[in-house]
Amino acid sequence: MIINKSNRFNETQVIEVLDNGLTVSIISKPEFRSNAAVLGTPFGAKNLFQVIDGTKTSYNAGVAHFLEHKLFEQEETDILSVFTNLGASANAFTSYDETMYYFSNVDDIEKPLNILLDFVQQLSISEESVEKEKGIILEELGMYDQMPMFKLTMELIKSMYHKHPVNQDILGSKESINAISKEELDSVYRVNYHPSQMVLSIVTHVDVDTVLNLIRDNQAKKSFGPNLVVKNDIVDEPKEVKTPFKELSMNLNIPKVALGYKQSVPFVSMRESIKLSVMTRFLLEMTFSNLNPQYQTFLDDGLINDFFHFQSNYGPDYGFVEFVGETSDVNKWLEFVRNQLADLAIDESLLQQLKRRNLGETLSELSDFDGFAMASARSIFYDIELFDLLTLVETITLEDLQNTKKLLDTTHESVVVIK
Amino acid sequence: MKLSVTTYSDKKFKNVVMSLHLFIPFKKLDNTKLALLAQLCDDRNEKYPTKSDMLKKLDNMYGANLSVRTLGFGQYQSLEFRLSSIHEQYVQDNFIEEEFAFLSDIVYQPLLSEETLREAKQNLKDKLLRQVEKPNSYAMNQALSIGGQSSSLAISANGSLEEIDEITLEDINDFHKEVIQHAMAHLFVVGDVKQDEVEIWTSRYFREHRPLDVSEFAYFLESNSLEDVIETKPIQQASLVMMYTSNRNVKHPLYYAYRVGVAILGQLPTSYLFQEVREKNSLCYSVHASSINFDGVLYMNTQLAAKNLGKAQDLMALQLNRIITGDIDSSLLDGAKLMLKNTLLSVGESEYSTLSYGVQSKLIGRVFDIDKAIDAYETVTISDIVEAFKDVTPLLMYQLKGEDHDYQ
Repeated sequence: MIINKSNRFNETQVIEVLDNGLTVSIISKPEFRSNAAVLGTPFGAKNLFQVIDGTKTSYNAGVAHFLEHKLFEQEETDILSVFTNLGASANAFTSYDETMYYFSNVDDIEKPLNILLDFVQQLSISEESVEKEKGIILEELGMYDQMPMFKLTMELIKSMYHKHPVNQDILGSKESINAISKEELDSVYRVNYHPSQMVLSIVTHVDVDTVLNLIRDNQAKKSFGPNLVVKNDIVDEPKEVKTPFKELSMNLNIPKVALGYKQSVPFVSMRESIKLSVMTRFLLEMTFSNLNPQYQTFLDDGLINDFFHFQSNYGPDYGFVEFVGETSDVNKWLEFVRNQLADLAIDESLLQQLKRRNLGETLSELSDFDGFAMASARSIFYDIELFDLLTLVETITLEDLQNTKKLLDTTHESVVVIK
Repeated sequence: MKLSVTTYSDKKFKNVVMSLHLFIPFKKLDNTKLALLAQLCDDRNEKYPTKSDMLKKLDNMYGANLSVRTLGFGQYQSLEFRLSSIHEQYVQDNFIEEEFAFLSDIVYQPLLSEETLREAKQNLKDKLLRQVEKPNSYAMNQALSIGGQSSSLAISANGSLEEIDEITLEDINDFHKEVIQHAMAHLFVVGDVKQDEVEIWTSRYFREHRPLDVSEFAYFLESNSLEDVIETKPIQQASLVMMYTSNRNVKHPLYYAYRVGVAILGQLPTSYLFQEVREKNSLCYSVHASSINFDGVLYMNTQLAAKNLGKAQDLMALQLNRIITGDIDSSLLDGAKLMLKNTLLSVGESEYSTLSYGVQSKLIGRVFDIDKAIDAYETVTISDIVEAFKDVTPLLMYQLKGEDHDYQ
């Protein structure tokens, strides 16, 4: 058992790895009545190429998301109904990096926690139900496809990446969704949902020992197959972007533009990748936000509008920085962003301002049970101590930002315009 | 009269949230002026005349979050000023009183100039244009506008694109003064705060305002069956909105039974719409029912392939009819009541749900009593739901589909 205590945040996290390999994280907040529990796997939409016990395997795009849908609909039971009848609200999501199943409720944790463990730890599907689900997922794809912002970001990522699986929609494509079979879902589940791959993260009003005993009792009744050695296969992704410029039509009132810079930073650890994401964000904020006294001039001159935003995303084998805006003069907008990037300012007082802001935001977010449970799960996936992850920002120095500026590569650029 | 304040004090909350509402009647042109005022108040201030100054002030309060927005509540709309931040004790600092002072600056001293108005107008135009780029948002806006007819439902709290340019700086200055002097107002504060301190700071930093009189907020939209509306746009997936007058609003004695019925119809994962339209027939990903609580309107909405519009419409009407005729499984009824009870039990677990419930209670004119509300839900029967739904009458069927699709 590992106990991580933070006097700073007045929180304690208890971590235990069970005999079957399941990692459990519990944070007790007895002053509340709420419970939030997340059972997650680091198998997400980008994990399309795996090496399983030495054998290479590939999957159809969208399989992680499809499996998430199917786990909720077991053959004999509709899981959401079961949670509803307990007065708990349950849901799940698939991102590029993970799939998470969670519930929240007040008071009783025993029944919904057992349901969560039972339904995620058993897959029971038929060929017929798999075929039926395809119709629903295709409608979901159609819904997102009509949303300009989803479309813009997805197309930018597709433009930047040749082979890396981030270039696939989380839901997959019409073709890949139709190609997914019951066999593939069974296989993916067997490999990636073994307890030793998963984390159960709980934030609850109940004491730690009671919750741990509940979980041990539940797991003791089950047996699981052997754990397979699973690695995510590295894709040989070129440094260059696939498509430097793309224009699409969606009959928009105001044209949208996304500018992406592909990064190739050697991976050290997830901690360093997350730190780099934050440092890049801080660096860009000093120029591309109201922290910069010149920002008002950018708005007044019509170079950007209040929709302008950016993000940076660094993972083990990919990284990019993205700028998004609305403009009827794409070339002028692009020139503006490129010029500013060539001359990024770094300021000590602004760094302190950002750190102060971040402290308040982090403390505020600890009140959100669902969010706190997910942050705890992710810290375990990333192998970073939770309170270290939460205070990562405080370690950032001016020198770090200067190094980040040097690392920021603006050579490999993609542009997507939707009109 | 001095500004009325309601305090929800709870030591377990880490954040302090303040929400000031100014209420005016819903009127055309005033809605757009209010939306512009929201943009202006959220931007710059006489005391903090640049965006950087504003941001520095917020960051000095450890990333305090300010939002100013407009909302609709039946025949009235509100300009809400919300400021939330971490409680000072967690950062060993002292700034709660400063937050009261800052919020009052935002309310009373926005920077109103030709420059800021020009920017606010552009931002509002862009926001409205952007909103309707999402086909289902466009469909909902159209349905409310057409279905609302000459009532306040047809007026958008976000303002109207056509009215923005005609508003001058003088108009906005006058309007701001008018709102401050004549709007009904109420302040809500949630967090680990002392009521007597909150009342002192409220008196110190806020002016006198008309007290809240909610007697005319809730109303019933007139029952009037309109012709179906089918619009086309160059889109792939269609949207369907089916609207009804219900003759039930937040003040109606059957409101709790009505809410349970709406949950069973289309808000729970076990709801009839979810099970029949999505799960059994795979017609869509998203389908739901909702009640516009202050206006006495019920609607169902989905997005789907145009070829399935006819089938979905029939299925959705059928599910509504099941509620109307009392074809309700008792386990579904129990599940709905349990979900609503859980939602109420969760109210006191976060600053934001406490605030939301507090505002709602105030606007309905009911005491903030969660146990009473739970009792009211728990005693709902199937025949209560039938009674609650007996006046549901079709108002409008609205479809938005792609230009190449034929209606089936």
